[in-house]
Amino acid sequence: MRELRHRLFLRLTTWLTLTACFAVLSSALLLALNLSMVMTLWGDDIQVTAYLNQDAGPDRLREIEGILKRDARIGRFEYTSREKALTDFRAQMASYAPDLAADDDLLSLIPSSFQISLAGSAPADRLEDLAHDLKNVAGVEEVRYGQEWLKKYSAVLSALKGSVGLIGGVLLVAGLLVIGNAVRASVEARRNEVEVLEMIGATSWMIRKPFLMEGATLGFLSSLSAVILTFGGFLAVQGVIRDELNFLNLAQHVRYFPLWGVAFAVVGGTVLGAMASYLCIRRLNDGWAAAGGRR
Amino acid sequence: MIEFSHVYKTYPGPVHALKNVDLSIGKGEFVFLTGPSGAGKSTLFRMISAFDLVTSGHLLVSGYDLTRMSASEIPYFRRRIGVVFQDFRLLKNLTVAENVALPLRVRGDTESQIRRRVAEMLEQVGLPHKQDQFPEILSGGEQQRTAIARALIHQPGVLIADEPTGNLDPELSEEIMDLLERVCAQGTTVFVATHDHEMVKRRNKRAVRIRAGILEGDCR
Ligand SMILES: Nc1ncnc2c1ncn2[C@@H]1O[C@H](COP(=O)(O)OP(=O)(O)OP(=O)(O)O)[C@@H](O)[C@H]1O
Ligand SMILES: [Mg+2]
Repeated sequence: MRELRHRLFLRLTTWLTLTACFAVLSSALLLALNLSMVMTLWGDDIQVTAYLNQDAGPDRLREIEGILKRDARIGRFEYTSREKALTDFRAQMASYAPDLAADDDLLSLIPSSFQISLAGSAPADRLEDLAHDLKNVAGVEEVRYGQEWLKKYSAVLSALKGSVGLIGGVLLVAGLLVIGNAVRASVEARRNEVEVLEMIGATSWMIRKPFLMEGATLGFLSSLSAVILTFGGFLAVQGVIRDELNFLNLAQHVRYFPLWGVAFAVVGGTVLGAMASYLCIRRLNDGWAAAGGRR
Repeated sequence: MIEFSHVYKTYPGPVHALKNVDLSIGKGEFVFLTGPSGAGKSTLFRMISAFDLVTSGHLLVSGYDLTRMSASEIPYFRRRIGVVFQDFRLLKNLTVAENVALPLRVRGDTESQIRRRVAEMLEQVGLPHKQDQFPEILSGGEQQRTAIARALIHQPGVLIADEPTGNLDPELSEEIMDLLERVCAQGTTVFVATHDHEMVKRRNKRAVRIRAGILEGDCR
């Protein structure tokens, strides 16, 4: 009875440990997934703004328009005259700083510009090339885009992917060891049974099956509970993003794993469990074992 | 049925557990194996039951050449023999009937075949009324009779028993020996290791003596 309780306890702790392992792993994956999604989302919004020289006349303007039209990297562009820019600026500023908005000298400070969006999705390096080329166009005074921000973002993202990979590797090995440990304990507890089964002519598959099943079951239950746990966590975070961080406009974009991803995680956990127990019972009974391998 | 020729078994050390063993046991024979502790009786039985491999020489059991057998054949070979140990080796989480049924389960018999055969077997060893009990609450003799039933249920050609009465008092020992003789009378080859010289004398059967790994007496 005490033995039974002990084994139950061991299985319970194994299950909890594995669940924690898998939950951390899937949370990290989920975070990486959503960050990269937000990245492309914001990446799509990135515009290059080319400010024109104060003295660029209508001819120059038409020339530049022609260049922009011919450039395959550019999807859409829009001209903003300095008058329009000023009106927009005044409208925005009116409530904050009415004095500033009324200043007529502003007109001479605000340049006219082109707002340029890239064709297709825009990797950071392509954006940089384009900005560089635009700068060399006659009549373009300055080119602005979110370069610093974008670079930092990519760096953060690749660091994140790297560490998720690393954490994932460590956690998978830890998972293998934890399952292996539980299965080894249950092999130890059932050594007598294994010997009896060998003696009456059970094949090695028959003898191993229950241990493989035990490992697979542990893997299945743990990955399933980890997926559920992570989903709960996800819903909570999504709620916070919707209610508290609404200005980020992300609530409808953050995603949980797709269904196939969940299925893959659970199947993967099950396979991992079976594999871990296979690794530690490989040498359980290879024919002549019970006597020769009686430790 | 059992055929040793020039069999040596050397354990790392080296311990020469069997030296040049020649022994032939025919179908339906009843043979005792005697010898002092550490003489090599269990080693000999482990060779016969394919729990260990001979170092050199040849060993044939029930038509299987154990020196040439591949690991994957071993389970099928073991279904042709029956093995009984001094310490019974019953599974304590299974009932008597379930313990006895194991070899048939492993073989894949149907549930009705198994039920019929278990009933027959328990009848033969005199335990039909204990079928639903767990081994722990049985007496030593009853446990050993359960183990014998398990060793015989699949009707093996050979039954080997390593000191089957070692844990039992004299009366129960006689009971077990009577059972083994009955089994032999039905055509099974029975090979029994024992320390009990008195019993061997009383039974008046073929007896093989082993000392320090060498077979030295074979009297019929
Ligand atoms: N796995 C092993 N490794 C090394 N030596 C072994 C091993 N198994 C048995 N021996 C040695 O082989 C010899 C024979 O042992 P065995 O168990 O066959 O004796 P036995 O006749 O059955 O004795 P007992 O009557 O006490 O059961 C002993 O010296 C033992 O120490
Ligand atoms: Mg012995």
